[in-house]
Amino acid sequence: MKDEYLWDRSGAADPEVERLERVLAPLRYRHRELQAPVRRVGGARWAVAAAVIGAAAALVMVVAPAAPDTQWEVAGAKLHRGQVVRTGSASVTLEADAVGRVDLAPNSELQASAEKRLTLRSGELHAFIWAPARAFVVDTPSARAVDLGCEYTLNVDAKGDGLLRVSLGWVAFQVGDHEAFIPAGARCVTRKKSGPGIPYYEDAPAALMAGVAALERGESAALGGVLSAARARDGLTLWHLMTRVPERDRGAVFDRFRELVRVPDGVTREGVVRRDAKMIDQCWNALELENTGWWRGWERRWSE
Amino acid sequence: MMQAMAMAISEDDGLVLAAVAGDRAAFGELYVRYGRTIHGILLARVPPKDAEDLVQDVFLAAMRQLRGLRTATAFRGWLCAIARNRAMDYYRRARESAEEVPEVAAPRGATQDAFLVLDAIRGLPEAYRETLILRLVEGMTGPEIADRTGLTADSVRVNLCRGMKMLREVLEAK
Repeated sequence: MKDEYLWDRSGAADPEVERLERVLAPLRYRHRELQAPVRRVGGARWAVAAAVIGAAAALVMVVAPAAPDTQWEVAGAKLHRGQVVRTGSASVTLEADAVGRVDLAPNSELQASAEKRLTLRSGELHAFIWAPARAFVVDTPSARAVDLGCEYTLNVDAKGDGLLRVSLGWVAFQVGDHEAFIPAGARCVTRKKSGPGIPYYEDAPAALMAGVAALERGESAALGGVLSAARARDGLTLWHLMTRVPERDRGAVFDRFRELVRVPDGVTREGVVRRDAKMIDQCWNALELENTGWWRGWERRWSE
Repeated sequence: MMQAMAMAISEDDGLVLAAVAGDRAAFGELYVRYGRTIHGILLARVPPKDAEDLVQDVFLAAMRQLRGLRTATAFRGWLCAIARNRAMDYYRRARESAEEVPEVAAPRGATQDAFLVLDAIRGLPEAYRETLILRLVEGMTGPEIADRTGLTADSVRVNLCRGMKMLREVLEAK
């Protein structure tokens, strides 16, 4: 078969593949010993979590009888579909080999709602996920957090409102046709009535953070303050505003975005104001947050 | 071949278990076994001169967070995810410190041709990019790539064939 050499070096050699192997060989990995001082495996954080799992007083598991297993385990015991985990004064750790690890903070309540899916009803979880992007989902009363390959912390308060803070990678926050993309270093609130808010970087100017909060309360007059406080990095926030503000304000947001971020030729104010999907995509790409190839599969409703 | 792969995964399970229990030699063996894969994933995203240092970063981060993993199936996906995230962090930090990230460095004996080809591969869609680098740079076979990354053999084969076709077209056009 023609491509067997490319596949496993069997069959007749493909001269072009051989040439490329030769040319690229100097870039090949050369093993060297780990050089930094190495701590004992397992940080204090995990040791504490493991100890806590053993503290029965910290954990109540409400069993859903005869339900199928999920992939999640607590202290080696499989969680059933529909099973609820409530923590007391200590945290517990949930693990799924093919998905990742979730620390559930004290005074939290979580349900194993499907094979991989969790529902955080209240409290806080910290997730470190190695499953492929979009495979892990956490539902909350106000939005769905879809993992796009990352580590994050998610809080849900007594009212059902939430706060997401991303440490590594990306998370998409979604409810209905309302969504937000939150990269590492950024946070985003979500409210039971209005869904995902506008993400912003944790190091954003105070005026921008206050302005975003005011906008989310419906105070449209706060827009000017947000735009003037924005730095180039806050293009993330402005991009989300472009997809959310009423048409009358969209041009002003784009004007400021264009001052801070180099947008490609062909992206026009008029196009963005009428929510041209291609131009909005191009504005996102101009943020250069990550090669966009991996997230193009994500369903983006603003383009509809 | 498949039997040998299954055996390798089983051996990796044992190493992961031992490493989780604090066995440094077992972790060292995992480092040897997965070093090429992690380097390839990084090389698909960052300049060659920094890829080797980042391999060390990835394994040190993995060592710190290893507790809780029990199988090679989880380990390989988890390790690859750390590598991809480290590459993203690399550019994020460079942007934050306003450093210029050079696209071309000057490693050991690599010719200008090597960088041109690497550049062409890095211009391909991500799925093809990573798989082609593991095959053409790191010298792994398709079955090895599937074993180490957790992709199915069919996916790797498709990525290699389509990626190579696109790469030929790009190189011919240069």
